[in-house]
Amino acid sequence: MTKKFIQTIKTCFTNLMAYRLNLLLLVIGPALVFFLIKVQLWSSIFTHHSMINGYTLSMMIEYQFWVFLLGLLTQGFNSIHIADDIRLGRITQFLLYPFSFFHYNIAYFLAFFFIQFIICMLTMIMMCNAGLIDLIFSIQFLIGVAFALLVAWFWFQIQYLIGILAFWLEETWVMRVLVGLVAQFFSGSILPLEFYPQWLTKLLWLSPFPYITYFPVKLISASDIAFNQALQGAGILIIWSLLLYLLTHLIWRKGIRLYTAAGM
Amino acid sequence: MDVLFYLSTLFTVDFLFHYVEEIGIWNRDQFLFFTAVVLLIDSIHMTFISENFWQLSHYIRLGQLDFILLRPVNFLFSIFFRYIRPASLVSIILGLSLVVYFSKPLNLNVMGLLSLMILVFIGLFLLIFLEIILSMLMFFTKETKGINFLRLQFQQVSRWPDFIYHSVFKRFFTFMFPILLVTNAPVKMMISFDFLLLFKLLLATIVAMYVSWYLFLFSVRFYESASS
Repeated sequence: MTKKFIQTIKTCFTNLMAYRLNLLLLVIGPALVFFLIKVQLWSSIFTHHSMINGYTLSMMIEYQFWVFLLGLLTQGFNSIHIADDIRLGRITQFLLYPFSFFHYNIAYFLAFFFIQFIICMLTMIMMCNAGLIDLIFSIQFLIGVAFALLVAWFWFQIQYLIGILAFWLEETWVMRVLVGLVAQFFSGSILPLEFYPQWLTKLLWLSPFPYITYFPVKLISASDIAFNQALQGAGILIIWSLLLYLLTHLIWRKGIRLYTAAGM
Repeated sequence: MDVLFYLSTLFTVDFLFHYVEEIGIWNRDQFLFFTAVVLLIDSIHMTFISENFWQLSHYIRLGQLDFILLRPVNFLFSIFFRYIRPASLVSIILGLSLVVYFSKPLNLNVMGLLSLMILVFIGLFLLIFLEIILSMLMFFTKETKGINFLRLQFQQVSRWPDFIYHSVFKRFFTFMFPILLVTNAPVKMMISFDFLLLFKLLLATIVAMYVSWYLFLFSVRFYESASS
């Protein structure tokens, strides 16, 4: 099983690296948005204020940088290929292989994550050399990176769940965009959660959204988060991941009964 | 989905203005009006234009552009205005309502709103021509999704007021690749009419139209058909 897994990861890695310009543009795009828009927008907002809601300009830019980097690392994966595989009947082969569709996509995710990890590390080193961020390699930073792995896994599960809705939906891009929008707004990607009304923030902490962006950003940027809070956050995300795992398998079982493939 | 996007954008601006009175030279009412115009342009673009850019990437990749090039219809019209997303028509109504609602604090009358609509359409055409120029890169790359993704990122540049940008970027995105004129010009002219800005918008649109046409004719020479 391990050999099959490793070979599948290698194959997926080769597939992903086939179109290198595509990969480069997928990195350049968000970097463009970060430098051109976010940095300048916040510089403009802070023109007449030295501090807004506990944030200075440099703190806000550092926050937005980690949001950008963590977004690249943890939320880059999407389920377009999963939906296409189901829609075009390509999952038939997986029903015959000694390797399930879910395991194949885990291998795909791991290959993708490895590429994104390298890209993020290079970006981080460049930013440090340019003096835009101060990197402190503390235990909290390493815990933050480990938490980011958990977030990436959680995001993969959400995307996989959306992908397998292709058993019922002709187009799943609406669901992908919807989830992306909701996650972006409620996870603190646009504004730190301190800027939201208190009643909304209290409600959000009951959902997994703050743990997708805001919480790992605070961990990595060495804000005051105690170890037991980090463990608590990880525990909550693991519980949500388990719930998603159960839901995914339930939906897969129902969906595969509907699936037909002719002439394959 | 569009409603969620509009709400999240408006709430983001609203939350910001709980902590500041001004962003740059604009107050809350002006910024929200600008945001409403951005959403209106986005809704019209999403309904009538957006789908066609994704279709172009399919045509090029699968070699199906031949069938369109052979038709006795202007290529650009046939490619970029063929498909619409009827489901997004509702978002145009929502966008219009937001513009009317947020124009009230700025005391815009009916004539003002009609003028705004004309300027919005000119801005929209400028955006389309600029996106066509960017999309011509698809003829030179094997995989086209990345170009579309880059196009979407550039769209984001037009969604913020030009005064937030550093002077170098502001000049580049106003004169070289005038994406900042798309929304900024119509809104600024509603706040305070500027004939020079109107001239810039019209000139940029006409130049972008001609550049996109000639660039398309140049780029299509590199197109490799699959079948013929």
